[in-house]
Amino acid sequence: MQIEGIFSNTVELLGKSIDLRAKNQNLIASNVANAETPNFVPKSLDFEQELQGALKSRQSGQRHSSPPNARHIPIRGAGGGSAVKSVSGTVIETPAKTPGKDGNAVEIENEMGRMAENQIMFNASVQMLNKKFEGLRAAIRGTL
Amino acid sequence: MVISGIESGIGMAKAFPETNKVSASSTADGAGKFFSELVSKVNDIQVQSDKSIQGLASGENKNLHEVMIEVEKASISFQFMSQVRNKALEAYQEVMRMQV
Amino acid sequence: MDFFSSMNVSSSALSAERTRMNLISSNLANANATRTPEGGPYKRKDAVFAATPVENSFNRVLDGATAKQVRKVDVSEIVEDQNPPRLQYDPGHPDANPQGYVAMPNVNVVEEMTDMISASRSYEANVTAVQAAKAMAMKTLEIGK
Repeated sequence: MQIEGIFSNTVELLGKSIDLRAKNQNLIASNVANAETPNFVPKSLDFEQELQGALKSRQSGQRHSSPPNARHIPIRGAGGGSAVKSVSGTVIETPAKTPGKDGNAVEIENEMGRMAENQIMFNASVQMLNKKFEGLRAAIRGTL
Repeated sequence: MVISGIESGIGMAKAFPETNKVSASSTADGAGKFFSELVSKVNDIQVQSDKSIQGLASGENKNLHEVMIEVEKASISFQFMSQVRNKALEAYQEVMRMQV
Repeated sequence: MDFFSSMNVSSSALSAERTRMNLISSNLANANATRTPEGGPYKRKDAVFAATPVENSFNRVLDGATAKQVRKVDVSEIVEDQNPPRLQYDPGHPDANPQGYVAMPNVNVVEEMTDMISASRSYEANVTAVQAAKAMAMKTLEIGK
């Protein structure tokens, strides 16, 4: 019996999202730290397009073609798959439109905004992962 | 002269379609259908919330509040269904305990 | 996935900004010093920041692309400003040259004040980065609670 089957694709996706945002936090911290270094170009992690592509590639996946027992209620899955596991974002350069005269291209306001968004999405992912695990626990326990 | 019943005149018949047929057959079938409908509805809500989580994580859908509400709906409807199941089981056991 | 390299990077920036702050206060304090142990008026000092890769071989093996791109800040050297000193006409001053001019330090107080504001703003931004990384790490501990 495949025990991993009870953890749906969404759990994997959320785990991946948490991982990618943690990496993004490292890059953003590096940008903020180098806000005054000459000739520094800020970088960030781009993963949203990749994630969308990975999700769509297995959109039509269905877990069981026919229920094992005629009295089982057929349930269809939500799509996505092991393509999500291999998503690792690409590091892109995001220089400011008007670099300073020492060549530094970091816009501190952008970086702070990105850091706040990253943190919020990270917290949201963790909370949803918690909710998923809680739901599984409620199902296993039978009552709350 | 055709005298039609009150129901057909006011349109009550359409609002409450004939349900006697269902209760005429065994109630076990009705309950079974009720449960399978409930399960499939709850599953639909779960799938919907999964899809919205996927949308949020991949950046397609920026509405955090919508996703949070759907996740909460899914969780509550699942708990509701499991409580309904518990109560039904309890009722069945109560009935079985009855002395003949 | 580690938050500690992010905190290392931010803390390196905090100490670099603190060094810069020290230099700025030294410049401001000596804005009128016409004598130094080296002879001549005080010369304005500035810190040169350099972005250095984070040395952590474990990190590099695991993370690949992102770990290579993360840079922390180091003060690579402290340079003296080579601009010529300001000449101020004051024949009665003990340090006046034969023409009656005193060589005053090449410190522009207004420039130093704006540098100070910028250093302080950078410091705050990095403190926020440390707090964000810490909050994320604490939130991760709540998975499954």
